[in-house]
Amino acid sequence: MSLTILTGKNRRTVLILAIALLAGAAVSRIPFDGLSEAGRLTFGIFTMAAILWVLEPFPLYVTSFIIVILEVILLGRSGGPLGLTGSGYMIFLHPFFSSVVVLLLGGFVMAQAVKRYGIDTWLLRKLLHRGGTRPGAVLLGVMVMTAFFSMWISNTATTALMMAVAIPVVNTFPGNEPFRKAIILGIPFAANIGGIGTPIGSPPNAIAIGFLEQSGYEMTFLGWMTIGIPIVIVLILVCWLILYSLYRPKIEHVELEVPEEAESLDNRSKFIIGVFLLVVVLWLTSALHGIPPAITVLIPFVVLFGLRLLDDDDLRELGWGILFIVGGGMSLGVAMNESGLSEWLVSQVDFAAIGTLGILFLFAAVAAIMTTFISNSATANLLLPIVVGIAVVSPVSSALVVAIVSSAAMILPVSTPPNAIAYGSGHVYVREMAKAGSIITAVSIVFVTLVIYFLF
Amino acid sequence: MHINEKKGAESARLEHCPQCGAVETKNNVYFCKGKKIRIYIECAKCGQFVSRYTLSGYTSDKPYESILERMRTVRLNSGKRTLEMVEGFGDDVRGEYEHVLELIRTQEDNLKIEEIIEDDLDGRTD
Repeated sequence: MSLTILTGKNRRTVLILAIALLAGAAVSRIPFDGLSEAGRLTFGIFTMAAILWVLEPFPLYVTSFIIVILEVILLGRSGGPLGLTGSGYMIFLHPFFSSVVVLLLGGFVMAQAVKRYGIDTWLLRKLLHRGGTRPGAVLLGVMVMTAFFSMWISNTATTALMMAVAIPVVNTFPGNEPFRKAIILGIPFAANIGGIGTPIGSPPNAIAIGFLEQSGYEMTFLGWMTIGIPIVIVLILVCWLILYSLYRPKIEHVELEVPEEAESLDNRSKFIIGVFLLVVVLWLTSALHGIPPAITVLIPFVVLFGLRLLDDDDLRELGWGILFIVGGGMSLGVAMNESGLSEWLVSQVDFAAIGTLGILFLFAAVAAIMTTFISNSATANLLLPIVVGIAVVSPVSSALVVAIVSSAAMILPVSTPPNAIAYGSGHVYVREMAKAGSIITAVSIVFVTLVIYFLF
Repeated sequence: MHINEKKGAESARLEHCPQCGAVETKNNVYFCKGKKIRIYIECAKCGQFVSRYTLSGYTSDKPYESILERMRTVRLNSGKRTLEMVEGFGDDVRGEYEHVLELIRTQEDNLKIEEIIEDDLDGRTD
């Protein structure tokens, strides 16, 4: 049998993997002053992971497992440079079922139930019937709804849901109507921004919470929302203003095509909404009853699968890849902490001379630049283990700035999946997305940095 | 035995009515909230039940609308991958459609549909 798997794309995959491993090996052999053997080996793994997450020769979650394999072989073996023995290597596996991974998993379960029983489309129809027809109001309404949905279900799914409503509408616009671009860009931008609102809205949020936990800081569900929701509201309004100004409507009315009356919900859907609301209430009141959100969120898992409202097919569709990306990033963080690499990296720059505000601006800018070209989860995975270790700035501030700006940078079609979906509609050019996206990203960097700076 | 070992990695076959052998069929699509969509194939000539398919994905003649539906379920984290999927989807579907028609025309499989499916799925049918 010929080795036919090594053809086409897979040749590129093997080549990039080889380059990443060689680069990692080379970095790990550089005798950096003050860096231990474990630190150098971890630096090599970090370098390899960065190359793989940037160039994406294969799905991002594959890199997560390569990280774990190398961590265990190079660092976690008995007699290895970290001095671990027996099952000590498990410290690299624990992040894959950490509280934030479980929290995301539960969020995915609820989103799956909402999609399967059409609760999202039902709610969308209900809300759309209440909107007006003035273009500005319609744009704002669509963006607010998009942001709201993306706080609870994935940004990608939200964009797909809203684009399915918007495309037939913009197709009825006259050919030279600029306002179509406002709507087509408003949906992905609002989805990106909306994801900031809750810990389960976007993976960088959960990753930030996870790294803070590793550093001994607790960020509650309510605590995150208290910061996230006001930021979402302001950024949505700014985004709406920018899009409305850039693409002023020539038409006077926009009619959204929705069925006259949304059909009523059946009992199963009502039950699912009840479970959803119960979980949200328990999340928001965790300080009162003491049940961690990661445990609360297992309730829908048990109830929905237990009562067969969800089945094995749903289980397969739960976004395991994203959970593995988060787990891999946090596992890398464990290695960076245990080996002293994080501390060493931070000590190489005189952050005290930059000042707290300067540091936060720097983190925000670096996160924005990185996430313009690579996945926001990969950005968070690579930056967070470094930034939370800087002593002159509160780890909470650093983590929030990186996580939030990772979701708020949206310049290119490849910057986020929602951007890619909107661009794929053929209604906007890259330069148009880049123009509006750059302004919003710049505003986000300044606004988020200042808010976090003055809050903490 | 796996289909690949038997006659190559791909195969195509028109579905025939088990009763009259006709290839003209009607798709009766069944929707029920919370359940997988099912398609019951009926012989257009004699009305015989031919087969039932369970839908895992759907593409209409408007590929962008179809991929929007698919994106509601698939959880993607990479803008690059998403863009590749969105941009390539329409061409991929059209290209594969032409390819399947060509296969049917030039080298149609002589096995029954169920035999091909059973080989390909190692006996897993729905």
